[in-house]
Amino acid sequence: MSSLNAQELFEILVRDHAEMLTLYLRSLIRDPGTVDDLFQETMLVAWRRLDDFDRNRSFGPWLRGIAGKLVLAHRRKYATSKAITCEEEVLQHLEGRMQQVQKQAGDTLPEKLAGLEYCLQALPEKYGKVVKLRYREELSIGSLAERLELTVETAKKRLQRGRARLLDCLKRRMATSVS
Amino acid sequence: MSDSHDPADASKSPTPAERASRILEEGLPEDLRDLQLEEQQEILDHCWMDAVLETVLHPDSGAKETRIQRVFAAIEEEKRSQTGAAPLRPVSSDLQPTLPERSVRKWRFPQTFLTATAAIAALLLLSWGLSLLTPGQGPNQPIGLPTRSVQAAINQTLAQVQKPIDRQYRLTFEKKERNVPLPVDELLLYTRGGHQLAFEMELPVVGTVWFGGTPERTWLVPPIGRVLVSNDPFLLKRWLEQRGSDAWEDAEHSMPFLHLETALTRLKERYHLEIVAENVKPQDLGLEPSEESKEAKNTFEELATTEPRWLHIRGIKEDEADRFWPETIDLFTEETTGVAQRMVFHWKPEGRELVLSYLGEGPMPEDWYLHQGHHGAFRRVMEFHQPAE
Repeated sequence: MSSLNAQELFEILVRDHAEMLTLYLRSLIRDPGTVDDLFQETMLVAWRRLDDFDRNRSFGPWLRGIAGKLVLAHRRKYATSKAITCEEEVLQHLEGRMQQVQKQAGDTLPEKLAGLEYCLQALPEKYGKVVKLRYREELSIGSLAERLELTVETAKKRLQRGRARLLDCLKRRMATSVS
Repeated sequence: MSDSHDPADASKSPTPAERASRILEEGLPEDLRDLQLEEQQEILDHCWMDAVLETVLHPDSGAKETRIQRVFAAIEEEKRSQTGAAPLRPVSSDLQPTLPERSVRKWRFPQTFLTATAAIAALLLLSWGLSLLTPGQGPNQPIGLPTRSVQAAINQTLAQVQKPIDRQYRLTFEKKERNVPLPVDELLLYTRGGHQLAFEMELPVVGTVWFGGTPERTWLVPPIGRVLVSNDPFLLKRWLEQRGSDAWEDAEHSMPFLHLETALTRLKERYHLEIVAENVKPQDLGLEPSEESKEAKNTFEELATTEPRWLHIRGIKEDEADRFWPETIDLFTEETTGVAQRMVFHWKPEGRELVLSYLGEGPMPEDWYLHQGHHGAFRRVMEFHQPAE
């Protein structure tokens, strides 16, 4: 049986971890273009340093470790960048969340996050509507406030509270439902 | 629980959820390092939740695949550069109306990126302006002005602009005082009439970007992410700035070039114009058809086949206060038709030079000057408008 060469192996790893890396970067950066740039930069750094990777360990945390450093470096360089600046220890907390997701049942990221659908259904209607309009239909705050005949501030509050409830719900479900 | 906003809360420190909301809804960059670790973690949790919602409620599998393809294209690019093979894509490959490939991205971040964007910024602003200066009538359709005055030649250019003909120009850009090749030194510019254009850029780090539209409505198709449509004339500038480049800081000064009447008026009124030579043969200028233009000839048979004679006009900047404008502009127009065949722009202090070379004309698809002509159906489009003054 012929063995995979380094690039073939790397391609498998990239495909397996692309969604998780994107989720990680989106948590730290608001600008989609910068997310894409850092996605590529992370993968390229990983490719160049593949020899340094301990193959007895999981690839995902290693990859996101690279990404975290690149995000912080990016934020240092570009003061106006829509990236969050935080202590490196806080990135460990985010990595903890990612590992919780990784442990969920399912092959793809949406499958691993299937619990979110339950949480959405359990959300009070006034929050659920705002969340769905914001994320499913991608309406701006102003547009969804207009659609629901709310003030912008009220719409923001509902979105904030809806998201907070979903976060609590998802954390609980992930803690109790591990593959 | 009330959802209304209590003004009395304004004096209190925002909660982590509120801080997260400011980041997420208002796009504010946040430095959390002054906060307690627990607060930082909580804020990040909210941002993570936002990312989860985006991922699950609006999945975009096409974008994922594109990201992966770009990674491997960049790896291939890196391998090629290590083996010394030139990765530059020939400009002629863009002459056929195909969808842009999402592929190679140069990987020299960030100095090269800034250099590139600085170069491209000037180039793009001028390219639009120059495209508006170009005639819109075929080479076999002489206007036949009876006299050969400078003003008449420029007016002839102005008169040609409104013709709805698709034309292609090659733009080359050099920075002579530094013997360093620019990351982007050649572009193919498509124009229709004087007011529509489209061009593709291969930006280091960013990747392939299509930009185009009219002076009133511009669009930008990045390699990944939302397609942007706006009435904002600074769309490209703002987009580049979001990626950390300040290369467009002075773009406002160049923006008048985006409008034909302003550009021509400025050229006529603020440059000293003179005729350098008449009956110039292109060969006299040492111009040999490049590989690209040979290919263009095959593609665009309308390209002049008779021996052309050009009129060479030079404009010299009269007012140094126009500091962003080229010191000199050399315009070569085809004497019979008035088609601008070649324009050379010099910024003496910087040693920069931009050359616009006419390749030919040929019909492009109807949607070529629309963003829809340059991306797949799956792409999301974000339209935003600046309020009218």
